[in-house]
Amino acid sequence: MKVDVQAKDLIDYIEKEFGGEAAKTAKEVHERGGKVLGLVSWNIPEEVLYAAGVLPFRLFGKAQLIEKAHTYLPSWSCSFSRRCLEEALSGEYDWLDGLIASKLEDTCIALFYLLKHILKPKFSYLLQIPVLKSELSKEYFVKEVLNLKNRMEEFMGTAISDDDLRRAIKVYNENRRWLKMLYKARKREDFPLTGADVLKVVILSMTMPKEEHSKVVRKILEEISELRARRRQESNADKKVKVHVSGTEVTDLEILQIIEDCGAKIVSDDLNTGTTYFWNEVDEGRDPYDALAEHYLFKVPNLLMSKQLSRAVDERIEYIRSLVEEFEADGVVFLVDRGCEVMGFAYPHLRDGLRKLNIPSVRLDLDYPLPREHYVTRMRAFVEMVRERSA
Amino acid sequence: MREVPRELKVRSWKPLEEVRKLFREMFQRHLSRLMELKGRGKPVGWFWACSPTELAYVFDVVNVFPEQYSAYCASKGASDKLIDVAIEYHYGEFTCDYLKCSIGSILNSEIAPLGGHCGMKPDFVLDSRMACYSGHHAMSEVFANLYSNLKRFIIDAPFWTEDKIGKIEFPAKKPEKISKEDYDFVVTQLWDFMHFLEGLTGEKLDEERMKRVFEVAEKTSRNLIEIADLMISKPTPMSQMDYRGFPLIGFYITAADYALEFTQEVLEIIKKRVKRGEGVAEEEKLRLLSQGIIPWYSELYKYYEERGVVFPLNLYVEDTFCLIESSKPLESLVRRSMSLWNCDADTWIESVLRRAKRADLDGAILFENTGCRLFSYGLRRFKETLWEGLGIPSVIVEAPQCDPRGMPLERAITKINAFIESLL
Repeated sequence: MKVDVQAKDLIDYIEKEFGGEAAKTAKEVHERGGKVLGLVSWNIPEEVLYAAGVLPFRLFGKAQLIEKAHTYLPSWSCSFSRRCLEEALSGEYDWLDGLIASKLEDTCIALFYLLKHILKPKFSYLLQIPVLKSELSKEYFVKEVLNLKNRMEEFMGTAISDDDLRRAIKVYNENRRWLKMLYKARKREDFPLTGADVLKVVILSMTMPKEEHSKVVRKILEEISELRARRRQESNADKKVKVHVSGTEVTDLEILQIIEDCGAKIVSDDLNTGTTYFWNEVDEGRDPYDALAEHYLFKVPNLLMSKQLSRAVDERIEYIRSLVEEFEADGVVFLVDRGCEVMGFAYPHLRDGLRKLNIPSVRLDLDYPLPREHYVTRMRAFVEMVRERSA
Repeated sequence: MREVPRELKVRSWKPLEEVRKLFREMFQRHLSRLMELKGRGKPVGWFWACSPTELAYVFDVVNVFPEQYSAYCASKGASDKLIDVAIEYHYGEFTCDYLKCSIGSILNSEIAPLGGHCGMKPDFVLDSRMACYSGHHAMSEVFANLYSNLKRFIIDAPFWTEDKIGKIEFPAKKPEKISKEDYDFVVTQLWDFMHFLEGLTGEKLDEERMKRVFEVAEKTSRNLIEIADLMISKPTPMSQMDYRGFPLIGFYITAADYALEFTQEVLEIIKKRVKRGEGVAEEEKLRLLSQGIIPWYSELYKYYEERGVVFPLNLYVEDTFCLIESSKPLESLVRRSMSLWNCDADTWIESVLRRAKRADLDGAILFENTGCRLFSYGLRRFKETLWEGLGIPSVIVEAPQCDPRGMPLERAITKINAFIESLL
């Protein structure tokens, strides 16, 4: 895929890509004989796939109307799994060459096997990522990353050298750096993109070739002043309340738009579709397998992994605190999918942890169709409360 | 008024009073053990399903089971209020009923039966990710947040796939193989856990004692597997109202001498009944497979058994069993994690279908338990497999295991009746 667009068209380009062109591009890769693997989980060492010449394509599901998925899923399942399954049952994923998921979360394991049953892909792999952050787990996970490499070699019929993997790490790190720079640019008051725009850019990075995506982000950053001017004319002169968004898989950007329409400006997040995907880099100075295991086990913030005798929620609170501090957020908006087990258990403790740090927060329950007025009422009350606090 | 299929008139129902009496006595002995150990200042450990609970008997740990406790609360009609407490604190509505119930009893022990988890505040929780991945782990985290000094010890097992274990024999949980790296990974953690218990109890591992504990567990587990085999006899010898309590033994107390005695006596009773051709129903009209956790607040099994619909195969109950081999204690504990929840269906489906065929079934009732993702997401596929593999039709019933408000029983019965009518 080539990125050949003018700066002024970048937002339109992102809109277009996000609206389905990315999938079209991935399909084209497949049609040209390239291999595209659908990722059910967000914490897969994609570098191994890249080194094998495979395009990782994160599955989100964009279906708004859920019909077929109800045949397989209970009514209380999360919107992420319902949407993915709806797409699969509608033939939207028929072209995928395979599937990969990690075993960290019950939903992802169960969804992986359901998708496998429906799509019957030629290749599938469940990555055994440990939940315990320990040296033993790391030792085990190094072997598991090697297993993944071996499986990719078999699948692609090509050898993956250590240098191939080092190159992949470099490409991915570069992309992480660009995304981080984009986030850091949000610190400026006149940052022209909306929270939804920024999240679109991150989500796009999970579906398109990394080098191309890095070019997109670089162009956005280069031309940001032009975009600033353009957006400034459109923007409201009122000072916005800066918020950090917390949750798991958020791909429905309408909710972010509603938050920002209520007088808030999203400056950071700890979403699986946001910073947790790219915030930290893989160490390029060591054995690539060791570095990847270290990264995905220890450096990626995850509510389901922790050290022995410690609590994951404490690590997450610290991660949120550091981002709130760095981006000078005034408060936190929790986006909690009603069917999300992870947030279902963690939310009360995350909220209490932030309270202790004197960071105000509000919870919006994600349910579909989006109860817009309900969100608006809650967000306006929250924005007002935060303004009064800082007055 | 329920529309019961005409053919299903209430006839006599023959539950085994002696089994119930024995179960109550066993449970009392278990509670006495907890009290006695607690009185001696032994540490209290909370354990999840499929965890290495035998080790609690090796180290004299007070072993409490939050899931089993929640089932008890539901059977006593106390679970809905406890669930409301958890939801009031903003825990997710669509998380596991067991876990919401357990949280509720911690947050408001005044309304919890037996003083909340038998009044046994935990010193540690074994966060064993050996069955339910996110659920058990997230709940251990919740416990660690609710009890500030609680030690949470994590043991992690793989999600078992065919390349790691080949095909597995159900319900013994004997796989064709176990990949070395996975075996070593889990066994090393089991040793770490034993060292943790040594530190906590101040006692060194007594290998002779461990041997004795696992010998008891082996005998108990063999009894359980034999009872499961006898259950598929014609007629079905025991009521599911009695059998449904067996997960307490299978999951948690196989190593207890009182569990061994109980299973020994029940096995003898069942053997005699099978020999005499005595069944739970006066006349068997239909033989159904049951999968999933029964709503504990209901008497669904009784309702149908009274009408000649019996359940010779209860996969949920039998999945709590695992053949413990005293000559291979650690391997047995690794295999314990190979439940239907924690294995790729490709590994167990052949064995389960073989068993279903032996049971000579007419149909299946599959209970979809709220919040249980690994289980519920796979039910439709299992339904298809039963039909394609054996021509067994099935019905899926939404069945929150502890919250009667989630699925009114009348609605479940109407659905099951319609299904049954199609089988007659």
